[in-house]
Amino acid sequence: MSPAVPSVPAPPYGALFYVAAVNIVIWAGLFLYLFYIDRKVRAASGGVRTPEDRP
Amino acid sequence: MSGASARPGLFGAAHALFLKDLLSEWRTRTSTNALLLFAFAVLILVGYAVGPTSLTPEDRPAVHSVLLWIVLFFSAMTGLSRVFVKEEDAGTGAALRLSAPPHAVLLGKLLANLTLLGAVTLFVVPLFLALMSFEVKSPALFVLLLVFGNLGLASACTFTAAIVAKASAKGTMFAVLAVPLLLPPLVGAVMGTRVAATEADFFAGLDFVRLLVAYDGVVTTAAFILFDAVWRE
Amino acid sequence: MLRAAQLILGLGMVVIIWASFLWARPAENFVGQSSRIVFYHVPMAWVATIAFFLAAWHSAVYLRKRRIESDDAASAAARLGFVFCILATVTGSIFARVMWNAYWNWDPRQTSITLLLLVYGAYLGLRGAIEDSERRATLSAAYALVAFVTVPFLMFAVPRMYASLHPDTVLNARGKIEMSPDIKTVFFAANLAFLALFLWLYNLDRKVSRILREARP
Repeated sequence: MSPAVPSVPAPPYGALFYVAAVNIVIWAGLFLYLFYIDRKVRAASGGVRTPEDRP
Repeated sequence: MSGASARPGLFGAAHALFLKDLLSEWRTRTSTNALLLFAFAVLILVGYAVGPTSLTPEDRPAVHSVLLWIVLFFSAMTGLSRVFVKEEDAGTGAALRLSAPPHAVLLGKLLANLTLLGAVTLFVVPLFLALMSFEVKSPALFVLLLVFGNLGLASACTFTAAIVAKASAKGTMFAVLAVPLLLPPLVGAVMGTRVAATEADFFAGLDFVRLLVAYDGVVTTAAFILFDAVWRE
Repeated sequence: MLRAAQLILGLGMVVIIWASFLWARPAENFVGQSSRIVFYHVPMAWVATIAFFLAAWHSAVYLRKRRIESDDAASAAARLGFVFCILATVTGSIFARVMWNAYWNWDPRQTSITLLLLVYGAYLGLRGAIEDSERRATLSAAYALVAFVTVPFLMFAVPRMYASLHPDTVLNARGKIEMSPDIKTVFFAANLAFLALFLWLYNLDRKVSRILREARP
């Protein structure tokens, strides 16, 4: 019977590994961009706070 | 002033507005005639393209059901925005706002649109049945679908017309805004009509009538609640 | 504190993506590895729906209180909801191609997401057609609310009446979630991550609206 949770990650074979790698690179890039935008918006709003901001 | 209530005058005012619209439309008749001609043209086009002889008997109910409602839908898109747009174009919007309570205006315009759509339906349906050899096994179900389908179309279109009356690109915006609101009742009406065409059992398609009735109730209520905000300057 | 949360989200998302391809197993009854799309398609669809609720809520609040911030919120939710809706549709149709060999099946469930797309498009189109900011806020709020009450008819009523190709919803007819634990973990994590991402973008959009408004008196 196959285990409920895989004890070892799936072996990185062929297409799947490649797709995962590409996705990870893209998403990491997106988040870095998001951090950048966030910083710019904070600077531009200079003190304008929404309730979600915290000190 | 504080004791005066708009309620007693509501139906009276709506009735008066409705009659006024009907009368002014009847005097010129240009737009109504254009609308009927348009509906007829679509019908002819449909007949040429997918007339009764070019479909197998099994396919006919499905295709004809959707085509009938397409004709009605296109007619609605062409004709039902006038009720509010013409007030803005003629500059009579301000006078209307001053002379009648908002709900009376909505009700009056809704009745006008219902009448218009009803006229188109009465014109198109018999022609469609004849020209397309469209056989309806359950006429009672068919009639109910037409009635409640038209009510849904008219309600949604009247409210949408009020929204676009003060926007730019009115013609396109009207269709763009109306389509998402009209997909549910149209899909229900088309599916129901297909059942009405194939089954003699009245109860077989009743689910779709229920869907239409529920939709009509919801849209009309929402329209009446929101109209005040839309209508006010 | 917020910065930390954002960093955790960024890293977490990367982990989830890794897990979605290289840790969770492919589910049964699916073609090849295609079940993995559930980690992306479903969160997008849920976010698109949540965004819709959010837009409707803020529209109602705007009509009540007439504070322009509510309009900022409603339009932000709509803009983002639109994007997530497009993504949900695209991921859905990619999946459809793999599973059933056709990008589009006119399946009731598949079509109901197009309805949401049309509503978002119409709302945003309407906003574009009105210059005056108060008028724009009022009319788009009214439209959002009417759309909100009519959309359920197509989303829920019609698909329930007809059998659908679409795989069982997450909570199936018996009210239970039938996924193996590894899939379930990644799935819920992905949902949370995409929701958090949406909220981050949503807040940014609102802030930008405010900045633009204040720069233009």
